Amino acid sequence: MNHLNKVGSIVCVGTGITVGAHISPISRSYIEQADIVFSAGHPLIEMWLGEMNDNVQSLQPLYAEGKDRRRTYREMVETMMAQVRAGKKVVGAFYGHPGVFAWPPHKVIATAKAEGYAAHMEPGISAEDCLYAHLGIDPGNLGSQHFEASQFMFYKRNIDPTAYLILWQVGIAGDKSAARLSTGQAHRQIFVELLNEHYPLDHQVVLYECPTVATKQPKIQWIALGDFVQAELSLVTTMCVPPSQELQKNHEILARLSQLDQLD
Amino acid sequence: MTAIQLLEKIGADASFDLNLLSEEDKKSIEQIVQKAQIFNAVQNILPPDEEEPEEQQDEQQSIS
Repeated sequence: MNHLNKVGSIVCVGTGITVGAHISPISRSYIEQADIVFSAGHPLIEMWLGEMNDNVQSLQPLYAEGKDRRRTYREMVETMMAQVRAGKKVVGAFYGHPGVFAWPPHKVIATAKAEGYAAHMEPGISAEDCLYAHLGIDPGNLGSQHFEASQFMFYKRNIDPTAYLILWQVGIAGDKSAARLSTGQAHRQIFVELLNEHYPLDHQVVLYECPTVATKQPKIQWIALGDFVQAELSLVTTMCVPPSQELQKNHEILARLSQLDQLD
Repeated sequence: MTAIQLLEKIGADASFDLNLLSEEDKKSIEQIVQKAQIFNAVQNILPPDEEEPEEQQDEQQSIS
């Protein structure tokens, strides 16, 4: 049953990726004014949140190796909702952007709204934003496609080799268990073979990681696609595949557009 | 200033000169960076036939 104007509330905010550098003023304000802040992110980000609010509770202990992450996500939602239902001003502070590669923030907002509580999301600077800045890529130039690496393997997708292809979470590419912290060379070999249907093995790709602290440089490592199997990866490694083909003109549409111009 | 306060300042203040950090500050920053282990926050995607129907729908929406 939906009751409007209940006392509790929740705002999910993004901390950005780099400590101190990426948070928005409004997100910071919500954190500072919250009764309780739940955090799911890098330990340094959680330490930083402690500078803004004395009541920060980490959701990280809900993770466990071998535990199905869907169960962890549901527990995160219930942990936050318990405080909302208790009438608290709750903030969920999530690493990067709270709505990108994060199921609990979307779910907790939908749940809170359905129960009649005020709930919304404030964006943060995501790893994608950092990637464009650090690699010097403009997605408006040639276009870009984004896929989570495992989903890219599980489903048949239409790859456009004239645009950038950005593959997230390549360190766990092909993990069907939802419980691994990395996948091995056999999984990566299949991943490479899948990409090899569209790109040659000597095609240069970038492995990218945005730093959590401003004293570190971003990881930007160019490798041949075929060398990915042996590459050193972490949970936050992203692969960016530049186009391998030039844009093809759509002569039919161009001709139709020219006809329209002649009518003007 | 604590190490995390220094890291916040370095991240937020464009005029902050890293060369002005004392050896003690550098050491304390390095210590908390080393201490912070890789966090576990990946978003897993499962094949459709292995997902619970309700969760599958929710998770597909969350990444769209």
